[in-house]
Amino acid sequence: MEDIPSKADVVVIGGGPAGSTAANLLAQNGYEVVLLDQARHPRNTVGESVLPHVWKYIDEVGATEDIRKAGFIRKSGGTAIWRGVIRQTTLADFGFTGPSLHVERDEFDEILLRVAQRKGVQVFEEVVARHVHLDSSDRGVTYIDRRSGDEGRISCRYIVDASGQGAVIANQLGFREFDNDLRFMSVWGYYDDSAYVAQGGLICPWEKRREISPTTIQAGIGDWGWIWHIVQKEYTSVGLVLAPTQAAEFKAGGAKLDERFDAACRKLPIVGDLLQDARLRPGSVRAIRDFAYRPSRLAGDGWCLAGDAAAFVDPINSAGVITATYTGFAAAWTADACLKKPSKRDYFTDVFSTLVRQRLALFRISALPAGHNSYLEDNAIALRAAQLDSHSEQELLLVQTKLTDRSENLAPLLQMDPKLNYQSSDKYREVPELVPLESQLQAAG
Amino acid sequence: METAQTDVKGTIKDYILREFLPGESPDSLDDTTPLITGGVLDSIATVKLIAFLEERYGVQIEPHEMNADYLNFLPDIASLVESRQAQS
Repeated sequence: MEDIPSKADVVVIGGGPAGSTAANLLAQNGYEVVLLDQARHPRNTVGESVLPHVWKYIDEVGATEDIRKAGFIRKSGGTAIWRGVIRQTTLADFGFTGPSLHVERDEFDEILLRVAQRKGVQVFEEVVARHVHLDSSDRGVTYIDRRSGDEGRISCRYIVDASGQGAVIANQLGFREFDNDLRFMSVWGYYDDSAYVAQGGLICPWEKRREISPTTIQAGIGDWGWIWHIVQKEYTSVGLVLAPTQAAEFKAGGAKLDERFDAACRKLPIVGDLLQDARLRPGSVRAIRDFAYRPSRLAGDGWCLAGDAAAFVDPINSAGVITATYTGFAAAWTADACLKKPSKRDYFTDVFSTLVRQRLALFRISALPAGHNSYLEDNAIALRAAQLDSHSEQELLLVQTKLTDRSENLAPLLQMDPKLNYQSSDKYREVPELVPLESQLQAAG
Repeated sequence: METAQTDVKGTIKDYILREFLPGESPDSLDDTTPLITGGVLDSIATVKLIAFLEERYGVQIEPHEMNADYLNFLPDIASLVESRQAQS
């Protein structure tokens, strides 16, 4: 077991996509970087549908080959089932160059972490950051090594907090603010042999997933809730996102979590049908609640937040991993700028906070139905982030607002901004009904 | 005055061509090319440009200026840099 150093230039807390991106880029810039992760990789987590925008970050960190070789399932687009209407999108229509993936997060995150190690980041797993010392005279991180129980301290010049839902700095300084509009619960599990939906509303059997590309399904439940269905290499991830009353009903269902989850999924239209011949993997069900919160602060002298530690909203538009890699990139840039020019660090910290706040506002507003926005100041700044997206990303975002009612706050804003490239788009199709592949083949033959 | 303006604009143009439009002809980027709305500068590139302007000219683009209202066209970026230089 290697010794954890007592000094480093930068300590990154957390080895998920945000942390490994920040650490990787800083190491490439010549800094001595120590990354602490409380888990041992590979480790499971959710957020398994990733939009093609992610490739620009994968390329920046040098993980392109490794991610391609992993052979993740490529999705062709999305199937949104909302208030009884089925709509589909095809990602190739938007001009993205890289494929869109369904990823097993244990594998995906570990790849990014190992690439970061190859770039020179010193990674220590099963080490929990307990306390951050932010005074410039004393800056550092106190940790506990879970394997030995030993406590230790690393002195450093800058700290990137990418600790995810753990939110080390926000919790320590007391500024973690739950998002009042989004008090959700999520429960997810993994199924063997699930059927899935492809383009053209085709219901395909599990075995075809490499031949006929799956779509990511998001199907609404009641007013706020929804279920995802994400086909992966060896199993299918299915997850519920439930609003407070729905969550209460779910919890009151008695029996064990696995059974309640399975029953709830099978009862739902369409996804329930896809699961007819599928089996829930025992012990695979997990739950998390109140995972949405807002950033009242994003950075300060010698520190900044990245990924879920900064904020999280709702996974409905597959933006979590992208937001993590973007904020990880911004964190690396900011740390580098502050360390090279300490006299200008207030300015660079301000730049970071502005850009990330814009990005988070967009993330948030894309998941909020009309009439449910307690934080109206987000509207104006969200558009600034949208302006900086590529044409493909802007058009996809606009189309996403048409697929569910979750983006009702965002749709009118996008339509009104002359600095955006798309005020309308028809790159989605309504599908009258889903058709099993078999019957389509029979009809053709 | 004229020369100074061209220098700043020319330097910024060269930087953008080099960093974000490698291999493209200099003619593809002129005073009317929409940099942000035209997709030349995305979220990563904008951060890099801001860093470049600070490094090269000691000028701080303010957070409220980091968007298409201020940074969409070369002449706008150049004037912003020059007026900020005049202040310091």
